[in-house]
Amino acid sequence: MTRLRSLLLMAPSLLTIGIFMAVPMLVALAYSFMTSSPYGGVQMPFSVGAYIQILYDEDFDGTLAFTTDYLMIIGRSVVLAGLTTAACLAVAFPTAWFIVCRAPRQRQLLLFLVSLPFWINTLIRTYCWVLLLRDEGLVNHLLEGAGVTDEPVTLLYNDGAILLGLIYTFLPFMVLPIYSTLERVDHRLIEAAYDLYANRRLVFRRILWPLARPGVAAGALLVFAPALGSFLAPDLLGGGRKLLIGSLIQLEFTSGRNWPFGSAIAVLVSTGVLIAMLIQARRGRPPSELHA
Amino acid sequence: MTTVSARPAPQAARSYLKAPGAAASTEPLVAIRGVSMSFGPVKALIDINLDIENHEFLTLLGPSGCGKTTLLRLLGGFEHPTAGEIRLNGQDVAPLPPQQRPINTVFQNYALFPHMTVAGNVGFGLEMSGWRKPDIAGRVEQMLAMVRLADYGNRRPDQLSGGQQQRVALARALAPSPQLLLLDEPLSALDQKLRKEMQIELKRLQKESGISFVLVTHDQEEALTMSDRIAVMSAGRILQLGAPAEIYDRPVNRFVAGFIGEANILPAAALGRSGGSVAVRPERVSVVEPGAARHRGTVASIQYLGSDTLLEVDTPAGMQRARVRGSAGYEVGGTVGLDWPGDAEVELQD
Ligand SMILES: Nc1ncnc2c1ncn2[C@@H]1O[C@H](COP(=O)(O)OP(=O)(O)OP(=O)(O)O)[C@@H](O)[C@H]1O
Ligand SMILES: [Mg+2]
Repeated sequence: MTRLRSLLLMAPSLLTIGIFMAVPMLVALAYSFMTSSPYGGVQMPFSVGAYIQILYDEDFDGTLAFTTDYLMIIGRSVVLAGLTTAACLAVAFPTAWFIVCRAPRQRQLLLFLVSLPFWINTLIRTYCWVLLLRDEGLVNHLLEGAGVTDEPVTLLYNDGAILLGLIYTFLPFMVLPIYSTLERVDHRLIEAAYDLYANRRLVFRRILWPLARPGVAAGALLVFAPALGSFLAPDLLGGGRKLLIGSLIQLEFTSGRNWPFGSAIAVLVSTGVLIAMLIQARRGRPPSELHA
Repeated sequence: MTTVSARPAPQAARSYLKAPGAAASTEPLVAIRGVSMSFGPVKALIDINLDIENHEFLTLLGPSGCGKTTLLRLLGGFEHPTAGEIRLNGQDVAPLPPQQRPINTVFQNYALFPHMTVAGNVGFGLEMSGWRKPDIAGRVEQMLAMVRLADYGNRRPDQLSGGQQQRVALARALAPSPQLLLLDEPLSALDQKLRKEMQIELKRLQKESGISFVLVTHDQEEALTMSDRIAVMSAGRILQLGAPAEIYDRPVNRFVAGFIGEANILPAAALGRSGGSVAVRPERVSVVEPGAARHRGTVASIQYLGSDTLLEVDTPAGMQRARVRGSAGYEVGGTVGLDWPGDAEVELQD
């Protein structure tokens, strides 16, 4: 009776998760084990060819040759997403702490400012960076105006521009969870640490950082996962010159017409992120002693 | 029995001990001179002058908002005075941050580090002041034994009861052998019985360690039982400073007389004295036959208190209270006489 009730009560959230998360992932999983049809879409028979294709090139005569092409793309994406996460963390932690230290009313305003970008479409915001960074853009105008350069500096269509775009896009996802953990840290713990002869650096390392870690972990995941699969910033700011996972998947589903291969890469990335989440959930449970 | 041995002060604070000109023998441990503290328009402390002696148990007693916590935070270094000097061993420490003072604090809600074990908490101050690992372990063990939590080193704060957390907070603050321990209402979160136990415990720790304690409380009974000296505060000022008996027997004004224990306040003229008003403690008042008594009145109320009975008597000089042994047969509306010895009368400044 009560079990039925609790099941019924959980049904809406279970359905939501099921429909919006599990089903698409299962579809992707199924597609990744099928064969591509020449006009896009998938067809039978089942095959693991898509996964083999990640590591091996198939010549016309059917022999397989090991290739690092796709591994390079995955590696580049991981590095870029990692750098994005690190940079976001470096900016977000002080930002979150700054906000926590303000008076409550100022905090509301600052939090609103942090979440302001959510109100504007990501495509538009990313495109604004193109306008800012292009040769005739605002940044180059300013640089020339200030006499720093005579020629426009190429700021767009390189990894730096992609990184900038990614950091910009995902920064709020790091600030908000860190803020929410820091906000709950009792101020007297910090006073107690100072009282017991800790200096600023040690207060950060021994008190603030360990107590903020759940927020940092959540933020890292919220930034890393979408940064890994993003294709807007790489496409617009990187000019799509060098492929990243996101643009690769998109390509395979559109002009590449190789849905199984696109799905296989998507499954691979999702699995990686899922494993990271599981590890995080494990470690995150009891607040653990962080030093011997 | 374990004791808090006199260890060298933590490194962070050591330089102040050896500073030239420090610790002249007549200088108190702490000398607070003309200290004022304002938060914007709020004057939390006004021209405070106070000495804290070595090895003493000093209590700051006063109603809510009188500035007790503020004074304690100035001593701890969490706030800095808007005017005046705080000398520790003869050196002005008013501008120094907490980590540079050999003074530790027991916070009201204990403020134990939730992500560290009990041992980690107790050892924190030692670690921060550069003790070596093996020394820390030994000292932590010693401190935990002292607060009777020897087997609790590996627990986390949230696995302890309120009283146990309180002891950990004490052990943590005492571990680095500060010269002064500050306690802000450390017992207010405990139930009555535990509070009594911890009062005894605190007093014992203070005696054994020889460290000066400054305790903040608004519980007058707590102040009377534990302190060597009490500073009674009101509205940012210290009204009276002295030993508990002195404060109780010779309150300087109405506020102190009424805040510490109970007092009948009579106009001096009613007693044939000069000056403003006079205080008489209810327990010094005896209830006698109306005929021969100096004061007469009708019983307005009777409150049975177990071993004692509290009578409220309506006299021409106002309502007077008398606390008498037992529950002898008085009745409301009856006429009684009141008397007290001459030395029970304390002249008040206002
Ligand atoms: N940070 C602050 N900002 C503004 N005003 C403050 C601040 N801290 C204390 N005050 C004011 O200073 C006065 C003294 O406060 P304090 O906390 O020292 O009182 P207290 O004696 O400890 O009271 P309680 O028994 O309620 O703890 C109060 O009027 C309080 O409102
Ligand atoms: Mg207070």
